[in-house]
Amino acid sequence: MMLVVSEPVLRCVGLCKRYDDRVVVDHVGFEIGPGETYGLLGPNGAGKTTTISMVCGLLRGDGGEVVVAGHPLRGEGREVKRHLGYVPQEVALYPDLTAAENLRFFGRLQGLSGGALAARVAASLELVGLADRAGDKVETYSGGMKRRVNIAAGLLHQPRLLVLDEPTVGVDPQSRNAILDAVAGLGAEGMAVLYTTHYMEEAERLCDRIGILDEGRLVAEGTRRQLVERIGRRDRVRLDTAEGRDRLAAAVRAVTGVAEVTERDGGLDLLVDGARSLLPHLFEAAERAHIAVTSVQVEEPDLEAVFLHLTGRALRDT
Amino acid sequence: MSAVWVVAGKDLRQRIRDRSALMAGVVAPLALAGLISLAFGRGEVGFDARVAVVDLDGGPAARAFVDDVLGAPELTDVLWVRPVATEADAERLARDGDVDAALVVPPGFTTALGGPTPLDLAVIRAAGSPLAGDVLAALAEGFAARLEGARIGVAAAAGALGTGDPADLGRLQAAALAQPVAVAVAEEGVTAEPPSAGTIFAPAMAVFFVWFVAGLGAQAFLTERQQGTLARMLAAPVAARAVLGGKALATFTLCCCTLAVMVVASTLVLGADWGNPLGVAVLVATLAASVTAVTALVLTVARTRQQVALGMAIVTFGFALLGGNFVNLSGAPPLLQSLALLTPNGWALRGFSDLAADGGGLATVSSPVAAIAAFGVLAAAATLARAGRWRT
Repeated sequence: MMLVVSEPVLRCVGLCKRYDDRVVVDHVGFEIGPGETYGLLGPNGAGKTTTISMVCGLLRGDGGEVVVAGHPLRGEGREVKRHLGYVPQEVALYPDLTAAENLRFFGRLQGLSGGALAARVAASLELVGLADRAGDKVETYSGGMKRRVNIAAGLLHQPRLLVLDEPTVGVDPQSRNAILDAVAGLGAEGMAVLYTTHYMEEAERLCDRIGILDEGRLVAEGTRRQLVERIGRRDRVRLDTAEGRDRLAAAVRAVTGVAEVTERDGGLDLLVDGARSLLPHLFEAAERAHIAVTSVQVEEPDLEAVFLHLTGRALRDT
Repeated sequence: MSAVWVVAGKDLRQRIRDRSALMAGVVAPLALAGLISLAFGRGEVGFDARVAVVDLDGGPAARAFVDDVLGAPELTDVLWVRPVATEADAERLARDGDVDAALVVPPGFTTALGGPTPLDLAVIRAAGSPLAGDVLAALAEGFAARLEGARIGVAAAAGALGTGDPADLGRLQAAALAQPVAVAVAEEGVTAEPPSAGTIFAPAMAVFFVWFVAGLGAQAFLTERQQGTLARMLAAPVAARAVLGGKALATFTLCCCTLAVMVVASTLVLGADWGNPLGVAVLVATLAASVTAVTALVLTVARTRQQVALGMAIVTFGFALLGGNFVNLSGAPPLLQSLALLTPNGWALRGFSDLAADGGGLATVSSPVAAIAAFGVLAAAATLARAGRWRT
């Protein structure tokens, strides 16, 4: 059997940035593979924007290395930028130009022209659901629509790496969902995505792996599961049944991964490792015992708890 | 397409859609120049003066001044000469505002010309008309210089003839004074065809307002920095200098267009005479480039929108005040005229004035163009030295 290891689309090693005596990014390093969505999660001021500014070549770091699609930023900056799409935190568009004019302008800067440019503008607007408003000035758009065009401008040249800096800040729930769906689709199509956010839910929903950034340091990195396991917390599963509670308890105790079973309020409280993957086995055990489960509740330790554990502060309070 | 052209094209499209550029670049300077022209009436710079003349000498030299100089055909529409009998009468007329100035030819003026100490012509100035006094004094000085030349010529001729006979000297002097007297002072501007108000004020307003147009470009640059579009441009595979070059090209183009539109519009509407088109074009392009470079320098020095606005205001009004955009410096003290040449505005106005006055071409504006270009080169060099601050 041959093991295929794909080259990372983005590799950051030891990124550092300081302003006078204040260190804002302290030896941050991570990699993102093709089709992978990597979330940089941290509170405001953690160094997320500074980090991605260095990744995009907008800010010269004091140390470290950035390599995109095999090209080092230092020395091959222009080649790096050909493979990189940048979606800044603010709506970086010209309000007095139409969406299509904005995209054509940024597309030309990416080297697109003629029919290819027109096709990419149309496709990008289609992707964010604004094809029918292409001829309207951006200043007439809602905040959520502007955000979507903002993302489309980063996708025009079909980059291998898309960098999004908190793209849903100040966006209504409907537009937020549309943005998150679009980003999820990009990852599924093989694009590497670097996504910064201070919204825990977005990181959990979108990201294959998450790096937790605090005061300029990458304090933890991994999949959501790996991060949660770092703090030693288990998932809590609540099973309710109309009858046969004792038999159900005995049946689920035998399932591998169930650490603890407690009878409470007519139901069972289970502490398990990996509730999502364990649920089918729990149902199989109940079926074998001829017990009908009437309701199920799953409580998983979230990234908020991880952040609290790692930094001593709540993510939302910082 | 080069990124420079892409950025410049986008900027120009935005500026054209933004009517403030049209207002600052065309409507405002044209309106202001038009208003000033109206203030001077019939679109021309009018000057005339009522002068009193007291001839206490009665000799041929005095008559030559009164008849040939003050009575020259070129001055008939400018000077209204009123003979009066006594110096006291002249002083009273000037004091009462009945004349704008008076000139007194002292007794013995003609006779004294042959002696070692010629007598001076006296000018009485009315309080409310200093310019008339200046004009009369200039005419008198020119005439005195002419007489001094004749006196030296007579002395030289007497030496050559080897005669010291007073009778011979008297004949020579009489012959010299009998020659027609040229109106030397008049040729320095008073009797020349007066420039129209448009010719004077259209360049002044165009040069003044072109700084506002450049200021709009500076504001647009700051807006790009604040709204993140500058960062987005720099995240594209283009050199930072291409982005900045494109923005500079857009500002330069707008400045050129503003000046060009002012040239055409003021010619058609105000009757301004700008002179040789090639000379005007070169001067316009050089000034636009220099204004762009100075504006870029302000951008590298200032950090905030307020600082940029303040910096551009200081540059715009400072250069306009010193350069003579608000006041015609042709009659100003030499110090002010020298200070004007410390600004591109002063050199530009001198260039436009020279082009309109003598109908010359490129040679006429070579010095102004070189001076304005030097401003631009210095500003551009300083800008490049500080360009590191133009990062996002």
